[in-house]
Amino acid sequence: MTVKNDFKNDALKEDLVRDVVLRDAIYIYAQALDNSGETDYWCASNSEVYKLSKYSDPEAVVFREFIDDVQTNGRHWPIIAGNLQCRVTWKGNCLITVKPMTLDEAGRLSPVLLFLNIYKNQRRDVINVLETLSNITGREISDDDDNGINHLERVLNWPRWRIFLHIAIYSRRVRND
Amino acid sequence: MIKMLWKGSFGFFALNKAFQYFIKEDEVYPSYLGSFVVWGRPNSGKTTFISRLCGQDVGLNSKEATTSKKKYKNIKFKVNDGTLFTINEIVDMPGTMDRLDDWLMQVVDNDHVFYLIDLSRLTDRKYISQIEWDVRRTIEALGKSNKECKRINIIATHIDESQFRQFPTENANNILQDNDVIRQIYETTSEYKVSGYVYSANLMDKDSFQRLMESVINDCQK
Repeated sequence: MTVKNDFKNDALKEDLVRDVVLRDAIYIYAQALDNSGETDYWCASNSEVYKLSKYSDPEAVVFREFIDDVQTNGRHWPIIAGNLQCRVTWKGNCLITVKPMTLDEAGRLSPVLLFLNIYKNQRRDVINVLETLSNITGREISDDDDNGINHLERVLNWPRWRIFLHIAIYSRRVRND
Repeated sequence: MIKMLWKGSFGFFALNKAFQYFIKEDEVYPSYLGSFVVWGRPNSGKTTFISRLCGQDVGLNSKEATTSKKKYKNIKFKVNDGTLFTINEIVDMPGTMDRLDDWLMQVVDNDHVFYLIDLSRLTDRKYISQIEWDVRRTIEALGKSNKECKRINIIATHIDESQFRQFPTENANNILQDNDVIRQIYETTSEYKVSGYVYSANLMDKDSFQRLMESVINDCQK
């Protein structure tokens, strides 16, 4: 009983934190390609993109927590393939991992992460963000992913109930690799 | 009577063989090593180190920067003499500066702390100041903690790409101790009464990694 209550409280807290701290926006994360340890955080909202100034910015802190949470507890949602991957939780917290062609200084793939809530209206801006991701992050994105992006666009234009149903049917609990 | 004895001894022999086959002696009593937390600046070899601990092949897949905190549980690790160890949990995190505070919390919460240094970047002043800062903060956190074992394991990696590549890996440790940067980092530990251990390894070489872990486990059990 206690466990159930704690779980409920945690879930409520998570929703509250997301709604209060994070805006109705898409958050973008990318590590510096020179392996200096710097990280860039952007927020894309209402066709505007701006950089979060500090790592300690509450939005950046919460965004980071959601990255860890969705990567660990999220389900693999195979709506896109190739260099794009999608993980999602039942609450709609969605993390899209983009693997750009531009490698870091040591020749490693340096993924760019997009975070949003798939049940909110911000989902309709994802395609715009993906199309301008090269300009935002300075990384080259493969043209081979166009088909996947078109499919993603169709799915994101569905009503919420249909997206939920799609997640319920097609998403799989896969160990984060 | 003889028939019964014969059947009984045969049954005992078969059961004993089956027991030996399915449950090996060293697997019955593995030694628990506690929890590990691994960090270091980007491309210092954290994920390779953890993959080796987990018994996975390294270098086969294309390398990818880590972007989130990951936890691996109940990892079995066997040393060359066949002794089996269990690591309760390993925490892997991106080596970016935004994770420093998280790392300092993990340092206090986990049993064994591993900070990785990329030897091939020891000529880069900016990198040196970064690792000095990280190690100082880590030692401060360990020093102020209530942990019984206040110890940091500094692992020098990428030895094959560094100025130390001409030396055999097994001797590199002694040579490293004479390096100004490593010595300076090492000396920080004494200020806060934290034990500092410096190791070196070529993580791409399985034998080198195995030797490294044997030394770490030996030192941990002292």
